[in-house]
Parts: sequence; structure tokens; C-alpha cells
Amino acid sequence: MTTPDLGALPSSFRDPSGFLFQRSGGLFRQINRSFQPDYEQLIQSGLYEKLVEDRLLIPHEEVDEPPLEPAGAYRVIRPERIGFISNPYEWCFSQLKDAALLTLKVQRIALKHQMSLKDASAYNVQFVRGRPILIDSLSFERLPKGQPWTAYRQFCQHFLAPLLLMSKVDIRLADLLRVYIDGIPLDLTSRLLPARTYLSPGALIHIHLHARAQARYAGQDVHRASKQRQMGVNALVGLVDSLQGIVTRLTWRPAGTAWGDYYAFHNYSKIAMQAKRDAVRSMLEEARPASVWDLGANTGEFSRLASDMDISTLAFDIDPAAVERNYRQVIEDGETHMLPLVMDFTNPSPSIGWAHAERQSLADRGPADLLMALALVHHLAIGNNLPLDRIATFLRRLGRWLIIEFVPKSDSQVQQLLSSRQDIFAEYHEAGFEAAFSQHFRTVRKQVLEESGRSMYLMEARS
Amino acid sequence: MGVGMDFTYGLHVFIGIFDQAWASGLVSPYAYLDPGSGSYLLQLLIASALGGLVVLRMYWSRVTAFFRRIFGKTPPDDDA
Repeated sequence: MTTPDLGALPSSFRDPSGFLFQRSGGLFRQINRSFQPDYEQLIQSGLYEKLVEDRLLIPHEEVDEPPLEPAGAYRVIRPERIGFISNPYEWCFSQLKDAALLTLKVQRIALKHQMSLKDASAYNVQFVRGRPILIDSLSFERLPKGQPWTAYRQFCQHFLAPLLLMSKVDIRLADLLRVYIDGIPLDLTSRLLPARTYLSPGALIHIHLHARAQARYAGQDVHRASKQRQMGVNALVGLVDSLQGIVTRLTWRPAGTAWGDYYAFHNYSKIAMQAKRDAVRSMLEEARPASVWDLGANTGEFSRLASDMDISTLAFDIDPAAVERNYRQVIEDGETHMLPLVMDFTNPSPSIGWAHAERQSLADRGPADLLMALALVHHLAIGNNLPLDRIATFLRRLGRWLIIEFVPKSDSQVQQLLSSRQDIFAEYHEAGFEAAFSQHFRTVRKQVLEESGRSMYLMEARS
Repeated sequence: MGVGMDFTYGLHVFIGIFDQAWASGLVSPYAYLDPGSGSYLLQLLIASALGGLVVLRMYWSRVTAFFRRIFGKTPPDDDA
């Protein structure tokens, strides 16, 4: 990982209440004196305890660690560490929806303790042990009497807008979250949503009218418009209720995308499938990795071979429908070692935000202990014209161990990729594959899979 | 779009009325986030409707509990 060992995190700078910093391999949060009364109320009102008990907020310890910036510091806390930081533009529909509902649930509980979320950014939510959890302990401010919800605009842009666009227009609009780091602008959302959303009160008020109000009153002084007690607690609760109702009713059916029904149409016989599963399982047992990234995991059938061994597993796939199905299973079965994410390996998440450093690229969040690249290489090499040695170079950057399946040209899946194009892939054969990878990896074991013509390799990176 | 225009007009009237009032900055100084003027005003506009719904829901459960008692069914004791 390329985070600096001493210094504030490049993504943690907007909030004057405090910030995250790294020191000697530990992650700490400095709380500034300006935030002291809010932090004290968070603890003394019992809000912290309630949220941690219900597993809605990441727990932290108060520690004796010296602050990074002593001038203005109040104290230092150490939040529980998170295994992998994912970004909202890598989440499937239900992950974003659950993150939104979590935020609203936290806000409702906060209101009961005379506190309120001062921000509602999707980046404040992470997936831990399969479920979403709030990670920003400094998000809570003492309820400012009579004031509207400070974080309402941010909630609409980070959560409501993308969910509506994914549900009512196209699932692929989730990618807009990568372009707009503070959530999708409401005027853009309003233009993209179909006309029938004007008939739905939720979308009408929180997106369409909201967008017009933003444009109309941009930059105007609003302090004069409010006297005390303009928005009581009941109204704030009502706002949360309204948003919760709208988000809860949003749905998306994971069907109709290219890979959604992959396993129904693959060319594995029962014996071949079992042979593949056995090979992967035994290779996992040999490598004993602490973390696994399954690339092109689809609905996670093989990823679960790792997560069932209690290995932290990320199941990446380009298809949001496959990731959605995988995530629904994680929630239904209460799985704790699996995190499905949307990722296109020919165009993986870049570093974005201020100074190219606010949100890390995929490679910078690695490397993984072990990568699984099952039924993937032919899509990259043939489907995407990637030379095998370049594939090997990138995989070497992403992981130390590799379980990789080579699919020969004779395979029907490859034949399908070649069916409408000229075969320019003279180098695509088993010997070429082994030569390209041996520059970066040494083969620990090779297993020819019964009844399929494919070969499975366990490789370890050369230092 | 008629409904939308009515709302925008209402917002306009609302602002006009309160334009004379002068209040010192009531926004929490620790709210570093720009809440957005439009977002702020929209909430104030719908505040009474939202608050009303919450109160209505609270009283609705009391009303249904009352009628259940009248008609001899076991009164619910989670009447809060």
C-alpha cells in the first residue's frame, strides 16, 4: 500500500473536527478541540454505545497516542481497522441502497440523542464482515436547534440520485459516482430521470424541486430566512422517514445483463465442475493466503471456496447483476468473509479526487495475498487484445500468489470469442501462456482438468 | 410541471416574508459542509408537512388503539 507511514491520510482533510493519520503502521483519528463538546455528547448521551451495539458505527478506542498536530488537538482515538476500503462506484445496487438505509437509520437514532449527522457522504460507509457500517465517528454534531438537516443535499447526491438513476434509467449510471466525487449533481439527475418520476412525490421533491431550488438560490444568504425553531425535531424525523420510504421502495432486478446467467450456459459437465472445484480448493490449501481477490468472480461460486475457509475474499466482476446476486446471497446467508464488488479489469478504478489521491486506485489498495483468475485470461487476451505478457505484468502487481486457469483455443468459449473476427492470436497457446507468465511467476503446480481441456496453475510471484 | 411551479412560487413568497428578519448565523460552525442554500430553503418549506406526517402517524396508532378498546378486543399495551 502506498499510504504514507507518517502523516494525514490524503482523503481526510475537509472536516476541521479532526482527521485520520497513520503512524508506525497504525491508523489513528485526531479529534480537535473545536469538536470536543460534540464528541463528549456523542459518548455521554449514549449514542456511541447504542450505535456500536447495533453494529452501525465502527468502534474505537481512546488512546494515549500523541496527536499529529498538537495545536488545537483534543484527543486521539484508534478506530477498528477495516480490511479493504471499497468505493461507492464499485458497489452494486443493493450495496448502495443498504448504505443509504444505514445512513438514515443512524440519523434517526442520532436525532433521538439530540445529535445529527453533519455529513452523509457515501464514503463514510464501508463494508465490514459483509454488512455496511458507518466509519466516520466525527460525523455527529449536537443538534443545531431549528436548523434543517445540513447533510440533506449530500444525502440526495450521494445516495438518492444514483439509486434512482440505477433503478429507473440504467444500472450503468452508477459509474457517474466515479466522475462526481461529491455525488451526482441534482440538475443532471433531474434531466436524466424519465418524465414519469415527476409523478412520484419523493423524486419530485428531493430531486426535481431540489435541483431547481439549488439553481434558484445558489449563493444566497439563507441565515436571514430562518428564525429560531423553523425545523423542529419532528420535521427532521419526518424528512428521514420520507427518504427512507423512497429508498426502501427502490428496486432493481439483476437480469438482462450479459453475464447474469453465465453458469446456466457454461460448458462444464458435472465431473469437470467438481474437478475444477477440487483443484482450486487444494491450491488454496497449499498457498494458505490471508486474503484472496477473485477476478471475474461472477456470482462467487469459486470465491466461496476461499471465503468458506474463513479467508477474506473480494469477489470482483464486471457485471453489476452478478455482483448484485452475490451480495444478496452474502446478506441472506450472513456471510462474513465475502465482499462482492463491481470492477472492469480492462479499466479498473483509478486514483481520483484532489491531487489524484483522495480515493486510491485498485492497484494501490493491493496487493492481495492470492489472486484467482479462473476463466478470465481468454477474455483479456482475445476479447480485449491484451498480450499475455502484459496480463502477467499487471497480475504480478496485484498479487503474490496466483491460481489461474488457461483456456485453450479449442475450447468452445474461445471459439465463440473468435467467431466474428480474424484470428490474429498466433501466440495464444499453452506454451506461449507458460512462457509469458514464467517471467513474473514460478509455477508451483499445474493440473490438467478432467473433461474440459483446460489447465489450472498455482503460481507464486518471483521477487 | 404546474405543481413544480406552485412550489417554486411558494418558496419565493416564503423568502420574501422572511427577508426582513435578520438572525445571526444559526448554522453550526462545525458543519464544515456547505448545506446548500436551495437545500436549506426546500427543507424549511416542506418542514411543516413532514412534521405533520410524523405527528399524524403518532396519533393514528392511538386512534386505532382507542377503537380496538371500544370494540372489546384486547387493547394493545405497546401504546407509546
